Amino acid sequence: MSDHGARAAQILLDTGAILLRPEKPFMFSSGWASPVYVDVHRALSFPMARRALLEGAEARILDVAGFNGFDAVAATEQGGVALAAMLAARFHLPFVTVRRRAQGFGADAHIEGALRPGARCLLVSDVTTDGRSKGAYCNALRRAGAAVAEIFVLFKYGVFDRVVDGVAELGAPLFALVTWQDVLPVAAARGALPAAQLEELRRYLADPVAWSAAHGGLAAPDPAWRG
Amino acid sequence: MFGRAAAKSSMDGARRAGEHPAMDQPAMPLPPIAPDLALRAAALFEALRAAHHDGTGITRETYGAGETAAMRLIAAEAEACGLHTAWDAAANLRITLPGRDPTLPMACCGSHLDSVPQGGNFDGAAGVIAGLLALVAAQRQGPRARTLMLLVMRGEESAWYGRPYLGSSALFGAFDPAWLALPCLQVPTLTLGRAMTREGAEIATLAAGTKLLDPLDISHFVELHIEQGPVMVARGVPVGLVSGIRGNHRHPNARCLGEAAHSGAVPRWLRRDAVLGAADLAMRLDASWRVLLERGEDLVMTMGIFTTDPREHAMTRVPGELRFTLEYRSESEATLDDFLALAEEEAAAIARERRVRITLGPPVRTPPAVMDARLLALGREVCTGAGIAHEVLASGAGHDAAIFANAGVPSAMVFVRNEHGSHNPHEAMDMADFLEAARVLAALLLQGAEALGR
Repeated sequence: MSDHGARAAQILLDTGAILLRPEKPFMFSSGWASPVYVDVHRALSFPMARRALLEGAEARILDVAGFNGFDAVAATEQGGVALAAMLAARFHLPFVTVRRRAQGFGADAHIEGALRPGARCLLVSDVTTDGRSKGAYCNALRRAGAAVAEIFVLFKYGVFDRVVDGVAELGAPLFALVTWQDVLPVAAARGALPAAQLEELRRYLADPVAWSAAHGGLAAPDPAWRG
Repeated sequence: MFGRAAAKSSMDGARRAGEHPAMDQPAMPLPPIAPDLALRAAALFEALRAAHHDGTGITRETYGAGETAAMRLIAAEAEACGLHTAWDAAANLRITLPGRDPTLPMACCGSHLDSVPQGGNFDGAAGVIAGLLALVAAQRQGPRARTLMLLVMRGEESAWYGRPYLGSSALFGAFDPAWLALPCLQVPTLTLGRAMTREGAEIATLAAGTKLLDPLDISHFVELHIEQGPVMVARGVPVGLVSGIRGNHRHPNARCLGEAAHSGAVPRWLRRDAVLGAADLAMRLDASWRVLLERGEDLVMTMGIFTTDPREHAMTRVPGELRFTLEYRSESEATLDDFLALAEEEAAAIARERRVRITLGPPVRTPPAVMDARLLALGREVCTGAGIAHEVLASGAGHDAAIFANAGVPSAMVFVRNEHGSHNPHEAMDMADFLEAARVLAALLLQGAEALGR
C-alpha cells in the first residue's frame, strides 16, 4: 500500500468506478462470479480524476522502474490504449499498441506502430484479473524484437486461483497503482460503500473461489484453461 | 405400495419434529417424510427405472406406451392409497385428495413422466413422486377443507414432437390445433394427433381450445424438479427455490445468403461469402454476450445448427447459402427483446459490409415466467425453520410451472440437487436430498394458499 494507492482508491470510489452488486453477480468470461466490477475507464473520463490518476501512475512507475528503466511504452489492445498513450506523452517516449490477436503474420503481426529493435518496453494495461493474459502480450513484444522491462496496470484484482505476476512466468515484474489492499481501508475510513456491501466484498476477497461457487460461477479452476 | 397401514410411523415422525423444534419455527412445523413413505418412494423410482431402461438410458416417449405405463403405475399406487384418480381430455392424470369445502380453490402440484430418448429416471418423475408423498401424508393427517390435486402432465419434453408442455398447455386452452399434425421426430409416419388419440386424449376437445382447468379454481401450483444445471452441486445445497424460469426466443430458420462462386477465381473484394457472414454474426453476438454477462445480465445464447447444404457445398466453392438456428434465453423479457434488436442490427451491418443477406426470421417466443414472490418467501421461511440448506436460483430450463404462472396461477418450484445435468442417463439424485425437497414441496402445497390469501 502506498500514498499513491490510497489516493487512487479514493478516486475510484468517488467516481463510482467500483461497482458492487452481490445480489446479481458479475460473470467474468473465465467463468468466475464476482460481486464487484472495477470500471477504470469510468474514472479516467472524469478530468480531475484522470489528472490525479496519471500523476499517481507516473510516480508509482518511476518508483518501481527508476528513471532509466524503459525506453518505450506499449499498450495492451483495447483496455490499455488510452492510459498508455497518455503515459507515453508524459514520459516523452515512443508508443506502440500490442494486439490481442495477430493480423497477418510475421514478427510484428501483433504490433501496431514502430518499435526500435531491442527497445525496453513498459507494458501498460488498465486492469489485470489473474495476470495470465499479460503473458501473451509480453511474448508478442519479444517476438517483435523488443524486451519487456516492466508491466504496469492501474488496478490489480489478484484474487484468482493462481495469480501470475512474477518474473518467472511473465519474464518481467507486474505491479499496480491500486489493489484491493488500498481500496478496503479507504472505503471503510470514508464510508464510501454501504457497510453490508463492504462486508460482502471482504467475504469475497477472503475466499473468491468459494464465493464464486456459491453464486453460480466456477467452483474450481477450469482444468481446460491454458494460460 | 404406500398402503394405509403405515399411519403409525407418520405419527412418530410428527412427534419427533415436535420434540426438536427448529430455532426459527415457521407457521406450521415441517414434518419429515415418514420412513415408510421414503422407502416406497425409493421403490417407485426403482419400478420406473426397471420398466423403462432401454439398455442405455430411460425412454418414456411423449404420448406413447412408456409415458402411459409410467402414469398407470402412479395411478395404481394412488388408488391403493385411497386417492381419487381421473384422466382428462388431454389424457393427463389427475390424482385428488378431496377436501370438505369444494368451494375453496384447489392446491395443486405436479410434473411429468415423459423423458427424452435415453434420458434419466428423475427428470419429471421426482416431481410426481414427491407430489404423491405430499398427498398421502396429508391424507394421514386427517380431513381438511381444501382439495389437493397432483397433476401428472403429458408431453413436457420437446424431444418427440418439437413442442414442449403439451399437457399443461391443454389444461388452459392453449393447445394449438396445428400441433396435431406435428410428426414424431423418431417415427416420422406417426403424428402427434394420432399418438394422442391412441393414448386416450380427446383431440377435438383440445382443438376447440376448451379449458380443462380454470386458473381461478386453483389456489397455487408447486412443482418439484431435479436441477438440470451444475449450480447446486457447485454450491453444495440440496434444495433450491426457483425465482423464475428463463424464457427464450428461437429463430429456427435463419439464413445467410451470399453468392456461390469459384474459390480460386474470385478475389476477396468481389465475394459474397455466406459462411463468413454468418460466422461474423456468431462472433459479434458472442462478444456482446460476454459483455452483457459481465454487467450481470441473465442470458445464454446458442447457434445449435450452422450448416451449408451438403448437396451443393464443396471445398472449392465460395458458399452461397448457410442455414442456422439462433436461440437465446433469459429471465428478463426486456433482455430477450434487446438481444433480438442487437442481432438484427448486427445482421444488417454485416449485410452491408460483406454484401450478404441475413434473415433471422421472426422469433418463436416463450415468455419468461416469474415465480410468485410470496410463495418464494414462504419456501425460504420453511427451509430456514427446518434447518434445510437452500439457495434461490433461476431455472435455465423450461418447466410446466411456467405454463401455470403465465396462466395467472401463483406458482413455485423446488429444485433437488442432481449431478451430471439431465436429459442423459447419468442423472444422479441422492434420496436424502429428494426427501428434504419433498418436505418443502409438501409444506408449500399445504400452506401456500393461506400465504396467498386464496
